[in-house]
Amino acid sequence: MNSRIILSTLCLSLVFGQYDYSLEDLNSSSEYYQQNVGTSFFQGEVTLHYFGHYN
Amino acid sequence: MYENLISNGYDQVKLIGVGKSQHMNNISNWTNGNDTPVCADQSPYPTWNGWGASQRDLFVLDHEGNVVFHENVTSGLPSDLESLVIDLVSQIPGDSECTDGDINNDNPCNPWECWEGQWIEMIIDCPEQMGVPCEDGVYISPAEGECCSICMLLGDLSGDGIVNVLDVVAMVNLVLSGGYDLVADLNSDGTLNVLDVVLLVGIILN
Repeated sequence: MNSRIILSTLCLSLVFGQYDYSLEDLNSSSEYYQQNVGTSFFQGEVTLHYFGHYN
Repeated sequence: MYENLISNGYDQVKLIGVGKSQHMNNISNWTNGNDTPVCADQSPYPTWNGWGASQRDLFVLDHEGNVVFHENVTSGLPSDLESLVIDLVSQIPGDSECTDGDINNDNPCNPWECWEGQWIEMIIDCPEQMGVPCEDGVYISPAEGECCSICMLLGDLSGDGIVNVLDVVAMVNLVLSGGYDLVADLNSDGTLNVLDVVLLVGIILN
């Protein structure tokens, strides 16, 4: 079981390569709130990533 | 633009906001009024650095995780961005609706076969409907689950493709029982009697 998880993670890393991350969703209104999201989380979908902040 | 895409049914698009942990004290400024995921990259900000991102950079990735768009959008979104995203969505492979090799034979005259994950309609050309003559025979209605009539040799009650004494025996039994079979009605008079037996014997002897 552990080897399968490691292998799956490795495969996802190879597929998505550089442009991936896994960060906690902090928006309490989001359906993914408190889940770790990123490119591979939405595998098979088109993703838009906006880098910014509000002071 | 994102809300417009979602409202038009493009639910295979996800927008994610990526900030920095040092700026997340005022995260409500970012999340108020929307339900898109918002994340905070932790110092030393490996995500920002790994992506080569700057403040107000927008990345668009296709369904395979390839970057197809990267621009700083401080001055606004490109006018063709929405069409780009719609085009990317159209490239997402559809879900397979069936398994290759599956066959739906609910209607034997209109069967469907699964090919490359999609149902494909099969065309059945029945000889009788195509006008193919049934030489020395008669078309018999198809059995349940079958579509096309079968051309049966007249007198071939056994269905083995030849006319012989076995068929004579079967015909005599049928006459004696008062039954009827279109294949046995050699003179096509709508009844089964000794006349048909005589004709069948004559066919065999000739």
